[in-house]
Amino acid sequence: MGILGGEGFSLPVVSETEVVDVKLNFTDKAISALKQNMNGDENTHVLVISAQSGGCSGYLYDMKIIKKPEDVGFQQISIDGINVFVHNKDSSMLNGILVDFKETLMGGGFQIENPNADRACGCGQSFG
Amino acid sequence: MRSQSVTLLQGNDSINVIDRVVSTRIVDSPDSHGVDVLFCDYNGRITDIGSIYKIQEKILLLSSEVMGDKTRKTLIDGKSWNEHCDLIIADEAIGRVTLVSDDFQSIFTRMGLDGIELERNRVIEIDDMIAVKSEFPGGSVLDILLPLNQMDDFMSILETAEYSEMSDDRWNFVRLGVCIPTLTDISGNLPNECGMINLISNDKGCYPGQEVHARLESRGRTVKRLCLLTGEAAISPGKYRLSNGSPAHITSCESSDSVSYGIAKLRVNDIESGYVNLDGAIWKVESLTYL
Repeated sequence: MGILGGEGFSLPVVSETEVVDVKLNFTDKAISALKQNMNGDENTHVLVISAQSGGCSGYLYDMKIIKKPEDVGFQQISIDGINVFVHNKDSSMLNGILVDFKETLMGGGFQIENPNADRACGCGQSFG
Repeated sequence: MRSQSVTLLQGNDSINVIDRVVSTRIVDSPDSHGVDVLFCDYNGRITDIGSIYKIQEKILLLSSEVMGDKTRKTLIDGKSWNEHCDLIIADEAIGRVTLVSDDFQSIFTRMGLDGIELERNRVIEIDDMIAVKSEFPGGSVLDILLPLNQMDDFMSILETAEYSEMSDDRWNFVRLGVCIPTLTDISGNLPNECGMINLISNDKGCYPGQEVHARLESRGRTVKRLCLLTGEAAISPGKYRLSNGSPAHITSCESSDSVSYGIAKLRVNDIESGYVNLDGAIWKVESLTYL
């Protein structure tokens, strides 16, 4: 049976998170950079913006271009013809963010300003 | 038997979900090995302490009872939408017995198990239980984890091996002598103040508190340290002044048979003197370092 095969284990813990209707803001530079990265795949692929634990301040941003996910828990926001997806579990953390794009040799790329964050790491990738 | 928060994590991404929030690198820790970890806030201060065991491709997390729900929430809230990691509460499924003895082999012999070689933090699976030897500044203990529904039978075996269950006061005294810290002793402090710098992995990248820990390593100066007090007088937890006016914060203490132990936070200069005069009595002081 093993130590993990007995009685008394709970069902998986479910996180109760507040779900809000997400609004996203993108600068012109960010939209331009996003279109360049989509490389014509706007009909089949989407940008997913998400948050996960980690970083110096508690949470890390993540941005991925992937095939449209089948998960029903996403909210879909259209940004200049590009589909941006935010999962309901991240909605309260990411609502109202401003996505910018900075072209520098070091530390460049997409940058996120988050009105929900009390603090942020100097690298700009972590918030809390 | 010790009260703990016991959490089982299962799913391919479990190790990454935990690794992102603890100060200790665990992603490449070997199987059948226990790792002690610290959970810290963004200011680098300790919020919880835990032990992680990889068992049967799952992860067992033992953390403090008082912070159990909050630590679990930190883990589950930080799981990304596409990560496979389920958290399962195992408080009612798995129990922990800590044995304090000079001869751990006797219990194995009583169970008909000879030739078991105990090694620090090595997880030994024996039927439905696991045994792990842990070392502290004041000695070693053997932790036994087993299904709670087998606890009565196991306690009977312990009794026949002439082990006796300790009262809460006796356990507090013994664990102070071995220097096993509770969250009360370390919560809100920086790891270097608690002698737990070895639970910080400076090579693992970002985690909550990492920036502060990195600065402590390069430029930090430890002003106060956690230490063991040994004396004869009884004392209570609280904030005191030493005879030289320095502050002393006693977080735990217990007396038995004219011996008193306490865990306290003192200024490093006071600890280096070896003895302090506290509340009218002389106490031997030793700083604590956890490996």
